[in-house]
Amino acid sequence: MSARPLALVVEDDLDQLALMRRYLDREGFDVFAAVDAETAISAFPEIRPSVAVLDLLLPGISGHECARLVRETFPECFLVISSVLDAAAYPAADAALPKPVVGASLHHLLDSIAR
Amino acid sequence: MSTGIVPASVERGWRKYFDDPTPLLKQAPTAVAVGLAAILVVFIPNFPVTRELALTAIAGIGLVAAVTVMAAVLTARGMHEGWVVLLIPMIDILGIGMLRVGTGGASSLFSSLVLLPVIWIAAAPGFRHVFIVGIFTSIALLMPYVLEPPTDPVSWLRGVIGPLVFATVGAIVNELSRLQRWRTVQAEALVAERTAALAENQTMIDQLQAAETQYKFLLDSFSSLWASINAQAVIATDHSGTIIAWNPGAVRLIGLSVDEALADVRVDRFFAPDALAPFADPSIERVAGDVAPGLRTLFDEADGGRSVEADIELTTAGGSSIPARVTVSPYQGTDGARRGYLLVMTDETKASEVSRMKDEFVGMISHELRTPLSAIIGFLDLLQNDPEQPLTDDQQDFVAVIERNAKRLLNLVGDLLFTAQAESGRFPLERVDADLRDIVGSALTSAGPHAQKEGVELIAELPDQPIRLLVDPGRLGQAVDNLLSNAIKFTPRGGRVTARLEARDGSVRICIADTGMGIPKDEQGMLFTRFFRASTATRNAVPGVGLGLTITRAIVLAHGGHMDMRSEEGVGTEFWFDLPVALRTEALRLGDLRTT
Repeated sequence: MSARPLALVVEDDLDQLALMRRYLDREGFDVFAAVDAETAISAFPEIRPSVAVLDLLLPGISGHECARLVRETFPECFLVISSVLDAAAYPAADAALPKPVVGASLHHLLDSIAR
Repeated sequence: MSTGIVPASVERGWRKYFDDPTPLLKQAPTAVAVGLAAILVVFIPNFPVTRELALTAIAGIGLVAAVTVMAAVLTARGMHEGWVVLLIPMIDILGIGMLRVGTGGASSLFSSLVLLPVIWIAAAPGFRHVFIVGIFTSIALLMPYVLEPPTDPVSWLRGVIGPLVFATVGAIVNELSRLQRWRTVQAEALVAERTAALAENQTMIDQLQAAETQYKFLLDSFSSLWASINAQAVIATDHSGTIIAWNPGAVRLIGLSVDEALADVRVDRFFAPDALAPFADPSIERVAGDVAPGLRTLFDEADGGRSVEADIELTTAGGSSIPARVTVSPYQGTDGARRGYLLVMTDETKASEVSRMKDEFVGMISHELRTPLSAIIGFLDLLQNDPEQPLTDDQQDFVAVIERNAKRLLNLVGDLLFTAQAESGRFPLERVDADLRDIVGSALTSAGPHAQKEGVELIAELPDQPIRLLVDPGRLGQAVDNLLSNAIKFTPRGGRVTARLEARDGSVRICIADTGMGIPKDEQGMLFTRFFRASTATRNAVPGVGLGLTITRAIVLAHGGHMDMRSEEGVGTEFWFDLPVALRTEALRLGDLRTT
């Protein structure tokens, strides 16, 4: 199944992480899940995500900073911000996915990008 | 002659009897002289008396004695002036004339006595008395010739030359008296004038003293007031912004002593340049040596007669910065002239700390509530849409109920967060050019199922032409949703809810009217208060928490519009809001600048 594209999910809430893993799995992605930005950043050399779904409120390095680093390291990666915050407060990204996230909206979003 | 105005304090002694002599006093010299003459005539044996005319002499003495009695009577009656009084010397002259006739006629010793009444008459005011003197002396001197006409016609000249001399003396006396009277009047006027001036001075001094007392009182109150204002920095500057007054509050807030502050310090030293920058008006050219442009703008506003309020970061003497509310007003002197500006600065550190904590708290709470709700809704979604393990119909129903309630909770959290943001005056509006017909139309569409379930008819009254405005469609849709949802909730089955959109002069009105239960008059004022619920809502168990109208109004206000309602119990309720067609100039206003 290594032909499947990789999705990077950074999310400190484990339930939300599990949910996102399920959705992305259904959409045909392998998932690299990280509970904080530090874990994700340290894994950067080993991964090549085509989609990244980032939470904003994270312990330690913030989601904003993490989004900047993802953009910098993987310019091709489709960057999605998913947070409980107002969409107006999101940093620049390819898409915004305000919580609560349902499968249909994620599906709709990923449908529009080339895998 | 009256001396009434002369102050009583002037020492005059016995001379005062001559200031206003009585007829008796004036008559005294004549009476005494005539009396002495009578004694001389009686007791000097060889006194030349014309025997045949002795009776005439006695009659003359009698006449003088009679008018002396008359003088005494007039004196007793207080009559000091007038023609009756002047009769006395006139009769005196005649009496002395008769005495003279009896004591030798032209050669009589007593001819010169005539002078005494002559002076009296002549001293009376008016030149006519000089003629009276001439006439009466002429009669007196010619008396001897009445009984015994002279043989020498030249003797008749006595009746002319003598009276002429007397009249001349009379004229001199008359003129001297007139002069004296005039001087007296002058002196009296002067005295009166001085007295009045003195009294006026005294009044002035009294007034000055009263004013001084009042001024001292005011100064004392002001000084203690000035010294007691510790919570605010009160600073007065001249036109160029140089500090001319510095209160204890300023010492405390900025940390500069009064002496240091008054040593030619300009007030903009205590504002960070970038704190003032938002107020600066770039169209005004900067004058060299003037205060910072931002402060000049505030000063100019104050010059317009308004007091200006702004939130500006202060820089203390120690270099730390303090959030402060600054009020600038024109500083006027007691004469009404502009002397500069008054700045009142209030430390807002605590207030901004509280506001920051509140924001943090609300943010934290909404995050903490939304995260588990997101998980619930997400996993319900998984449950409903798992193709491998489809739910039974019953299970689908149950999950739908759970989901609906989770979404309600989520909306509530969103509303709470929104009202908190609206209260602190900042929530983001994303204005785009939109057709209001679409916004109202889609709100009607989404309210459709609700209305159908409640058995309420929805009516749309939308114009044919598009109405385009720069609005936040999401927020405005939320406002219309709220009003529609309220209208449907409060309208009994079979009623109507009408959504109307109309272009008005300079504004656009959106109106939601229902045929519902209405809102009691005394509750209408409370409608926009957070968490308020009308008694009709609680009585009829209409669900809700009382945030909808607060949110709706906040959205309308943020769009520069205003909102109102009218309602009649049992008839229906109408809510409407007007949005200005032209974009309000908030964006053009100077930062947080407010004029009061």
